[in-house]
Amino acid sequence: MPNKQNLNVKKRIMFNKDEDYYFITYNILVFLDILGCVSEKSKFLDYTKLSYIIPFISNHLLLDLIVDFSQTNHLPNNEEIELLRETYYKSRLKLKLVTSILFTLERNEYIALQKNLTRNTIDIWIRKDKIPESFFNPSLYRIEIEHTKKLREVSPRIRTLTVNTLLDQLFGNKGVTVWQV
Amino acid sequence: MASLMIRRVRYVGENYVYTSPELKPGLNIIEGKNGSGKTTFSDLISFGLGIYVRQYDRKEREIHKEICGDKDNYVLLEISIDDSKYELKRHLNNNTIFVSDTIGNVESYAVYRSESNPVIFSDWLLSKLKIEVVEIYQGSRKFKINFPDLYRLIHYDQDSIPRKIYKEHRTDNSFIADSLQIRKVIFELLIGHQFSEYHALVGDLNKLERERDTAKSLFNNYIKMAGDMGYDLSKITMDTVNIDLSSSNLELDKLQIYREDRKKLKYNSTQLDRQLIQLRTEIVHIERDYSVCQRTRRNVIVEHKSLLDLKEDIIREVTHLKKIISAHEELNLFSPNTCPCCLKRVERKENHCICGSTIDESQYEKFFYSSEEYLDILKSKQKSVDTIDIGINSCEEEMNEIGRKSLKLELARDNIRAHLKEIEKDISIYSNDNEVNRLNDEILLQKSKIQKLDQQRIILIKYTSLEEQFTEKKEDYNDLFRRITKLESSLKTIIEKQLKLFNVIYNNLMTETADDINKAVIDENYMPIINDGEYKQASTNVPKRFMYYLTLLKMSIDSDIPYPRFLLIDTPENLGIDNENLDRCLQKIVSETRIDVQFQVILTTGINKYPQEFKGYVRETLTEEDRLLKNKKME
Repeated sequence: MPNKQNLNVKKRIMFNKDEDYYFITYNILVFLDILGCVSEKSKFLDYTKLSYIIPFISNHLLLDLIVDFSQTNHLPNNEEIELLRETYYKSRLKLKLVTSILFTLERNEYIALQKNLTRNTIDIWIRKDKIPESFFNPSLYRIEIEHTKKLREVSPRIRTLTVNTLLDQLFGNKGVTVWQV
Repeated sequence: MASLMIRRVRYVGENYVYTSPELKPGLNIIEGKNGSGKTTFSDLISFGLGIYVRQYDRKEREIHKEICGDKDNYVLLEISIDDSKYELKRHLNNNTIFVSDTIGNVESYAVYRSESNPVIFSDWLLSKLKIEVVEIYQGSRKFKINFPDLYRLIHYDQDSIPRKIYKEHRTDNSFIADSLQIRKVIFELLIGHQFSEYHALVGDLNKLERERDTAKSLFNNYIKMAGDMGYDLSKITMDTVNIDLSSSNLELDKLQIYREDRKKLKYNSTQLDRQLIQLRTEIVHIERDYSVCQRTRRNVIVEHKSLLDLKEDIIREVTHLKKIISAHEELNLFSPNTCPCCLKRVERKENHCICGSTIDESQYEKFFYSSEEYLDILKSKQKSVDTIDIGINSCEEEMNEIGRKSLKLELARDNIRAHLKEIEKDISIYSNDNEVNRLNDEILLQKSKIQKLDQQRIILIKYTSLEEQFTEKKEDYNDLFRRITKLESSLKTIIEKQLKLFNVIYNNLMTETADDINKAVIDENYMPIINDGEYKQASTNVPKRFMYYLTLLKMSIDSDIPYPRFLLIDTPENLGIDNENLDRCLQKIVSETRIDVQFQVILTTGINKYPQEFKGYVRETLTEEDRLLKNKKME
């Protein structure tokens, strides 16, 4: 019994929201749904962008920094730059995880992935008909929906732009050094 | 009450003399032709009783030639009041009456009241007649009812207008003396018993009322004056003034002692330097404490902020967890049997890893969670929110504490700095003149404050005494007013009784005298109303007046009233009374009166103008040859 309890405590302590599969999953699904990437025509170019976008969709502090900057050209202070830098590194490290989650989703036919030879990227769209209807609960994902819309206002071409442009918009022009490999 | 009787009338002058026969109780008739001196006879009586007689006043136009032309002349009346006999002697042109009694005592009285003559003949006569001298206040003037006033209903003269009943008042511009109130009082005095006491009280009441009003206006004026001077007397009390005064005096003493002390003090540089060093050291200590305080504060603020951030993070994570649970339930993608590399579902043996090696379940480094486990995490997160809240609260408390402490330190620092500045200023002047000057100013201020308070006290004392006076007068007035009201009601019943009696006699006399009169009463002003006011023939006025006098006389004979049972009637037939009626009236009086009560009626009339049965009452007959005044020379 104590063994079992210890296991529970350990699991609880080891829990990391940012790396939780479901956390990444629902953020990607909701984001793509609101953006309207539901078919090949309106596919989301280059899935790697998603790894960087998720923190902004789930945390209003980060999103507010971007929105503030676009509206007032107000540069973030050191603390905020530090926060952005941290976000960038973590997102970069999570990229692998996101990739494997996306493959799982594709195998479950919740999404479709497609190689883009011209841009040398993998593009993505969701297959709404395969996803249980009850999943998209607007009141549950109210914040994510709101944040997606805000982000689209700040960066209207977010669906098609390259990962480099996006990284510059989110981090580079705020003083965070971006090193894309 | 008393009866007044004239026993003999004498006139003595250089040129003329007259001595009447002895007059008796009851009816006395002096008959004579016109111009033979009938009116002179009654005038002599009036003059002797201290009444103003116009014909004897040399300043008047129509004067009595013989008497006014005579020299060294006087009137001598022999009178009796009840059983006492007196002689009244009054010189013409002289307002003094000499009263001598049977033993030979002679007293002199002035006729008219003045400041040098407070007691006059009227007072003597009224006291003998047992009628009290009544003082009446009208407005601000005081008026005494004297015998001449009462005489207006005793002497039935020829000159007065019958309608007015009362004998005409001497026209000396005294409207008060002939006012309705006075006339009513005269009547009431003559028929009443206790009225004199009442009027005396009313007099007192009026006096008190004036005194009260004076006290009141004095009091009010004082309040106003004090108000003009800037004192609101309703707001200051003796107690507060006294307390202020004593505390101010104490303060003054302290200041003076302190100033003397300061004056003696010499500037001492060592002492001052030491003080300066001490103060500066204190400031350094305080500054150090203050900066420590500020540093701690900054730390606490940072801690507070990070706690708030943490709390927000956890709350956010809780919402995320809820969504994770929902996504898990909806999509059911991952389980412990999911390959961490390809994320595909694999068949796995218990206690074996996906790679095939044996492993304790708890030793996994990477976990997949069931819904239940997610919920556990959610709960633990919510719990940690509470813990963080406690931390936030204690941070806030600490911040408040630090705030208070630094405020205290700031105050102390400012105080010491101010103190230092003062001392430095003193040093620059190089003496303590500065402080002595300041003390002088304060002493001056204190002194003027004491002076003001003293003045306030004096004003308050005067105010209190005036207020007391006013209250006293007011109470006196109210007491008397109550007494009078009580007396008034009892008097009212008495006077109503007397008026009833008067009306019975008057009605009787009037209805029997004139055939066309069936009702005669007096109204509330004691004036006659005949046949309820319908009968207006002028000739009725004569019996109306005459019967009024007779009624009073008869009343005094029948019952004990102050009326002196004396009636002087001057030639009534000249006024148009027909003989028959007059006869009837006179007979009525004489016949119906009681023998045991002494009274006197003196009637001057024309020869044989009276009932034949009255022949025996004729005391003297005057003719043109035998006139009243006898010329000494001719004799």
